[in-house]
Amino acid sequence: MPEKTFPFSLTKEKKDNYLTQELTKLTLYHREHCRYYRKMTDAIGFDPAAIRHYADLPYLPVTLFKELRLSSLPEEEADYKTVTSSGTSSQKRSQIILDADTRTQQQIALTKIGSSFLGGRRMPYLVIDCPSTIHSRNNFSARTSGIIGFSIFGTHRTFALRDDMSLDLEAVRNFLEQYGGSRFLIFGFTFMVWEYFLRVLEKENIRLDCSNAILLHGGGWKKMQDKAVSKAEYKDRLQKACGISHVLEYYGMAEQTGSIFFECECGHLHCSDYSGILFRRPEDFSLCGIGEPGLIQVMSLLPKSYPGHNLLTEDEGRLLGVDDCPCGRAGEYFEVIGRVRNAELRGCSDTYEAIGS
Amino acid sequence: MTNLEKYNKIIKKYLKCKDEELNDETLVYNRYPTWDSVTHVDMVSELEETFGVYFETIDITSFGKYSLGIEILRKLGVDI
Repeated sequence: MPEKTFPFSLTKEKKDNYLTQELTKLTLYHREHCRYYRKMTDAIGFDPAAIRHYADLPYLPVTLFKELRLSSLPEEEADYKTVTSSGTSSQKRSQIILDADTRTQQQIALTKIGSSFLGGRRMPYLVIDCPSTIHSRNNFSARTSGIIGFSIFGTHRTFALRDDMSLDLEAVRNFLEQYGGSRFLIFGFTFMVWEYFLRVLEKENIRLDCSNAILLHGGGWKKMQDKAVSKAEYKDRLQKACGISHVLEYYGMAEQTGSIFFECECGHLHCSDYSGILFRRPEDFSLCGIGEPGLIQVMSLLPKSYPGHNLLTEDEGRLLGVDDCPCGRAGEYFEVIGRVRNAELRGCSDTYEAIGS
Repeated sequence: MTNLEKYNKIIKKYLKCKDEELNDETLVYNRYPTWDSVTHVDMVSELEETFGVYFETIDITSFGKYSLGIEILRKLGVDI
């Protein structure tokens, strides 16, 4: 079994202590720097002396970032960017305030986590999206943020789609001609890869050889579930259409960019040393046991400019185990089951419609 | 052109900065307005091509200030 290396190095007891200590610090930090956050944590009777474990710390519903602009930056701080999560035109989007330091920490975490799965060697990078997604550099969507964030693993960034979302077959063929002979990276949001790449190849009977590709995708299954496409079918059809056999998925959200969860060789999503994950019963928010489905709560050590370090999502998942995944990584591993019924629709790649608006 | 001049030329081209800004106080990744991650990756590509070197992902994230790019190039064997 490989050695436990950063950022998948902390085994249960160490991680419990470490996260309890660091997340308590962050909670206190945000209480001091964000007025709303202090009021909310006061309202639920937060008492630092009563914290025994990080599970005792207060958490915010992730949807709160749609209602409130939560910032822990000094008011005069002008150097920040805003990332908005997905949301259809009728929905509100989350607004996340990021300063330079938090952005840098996010990029470092993403690089360390990603390198554990993709290796340290960068690869030619084919993006299943359009060039205009990276035009706005100050206020960007989760999609933009993903494309930019992962570009650190890539060389020769090439966009597979035109700005009208049609497949730029010439660009893709040129890319494959030059780089398709050895390992390369394809990145896209789950739904975008399906709708604007795979479905087009199938419909138009286009043959491409992507057998050397690693496909990295994430951003939500909601729209795929609407189409009744299972993960197995998703993979199977990609393999058939263009020979992609190496598929890596990640789970993450705009509200906690950087400390994302990658799927390992065994198909399990892994929680890194940068984050914690808990599962709660929707009836009473008590903690689930291993294997028991519940609401996913995510904790991250990265957010400093906004109080998003401890969030209850609307996603349902279950813990599969801790420290004993056959891939050798320490920490929790889990699966995402889907969106909790009646939860507000949400998922990055689900909302291409919103991008044009 | 010396290697340092080549380096500065690339930095100025991508970050759109002036000669007097070529220092660590001014040129900080994510702080200097034009130095965001897209520009960063594109700038690294040109440095790689110009100097015939290859940045690992870890080098890319270490390159957070003006002088750190020079340090990384030296580590990669460039006489600069």
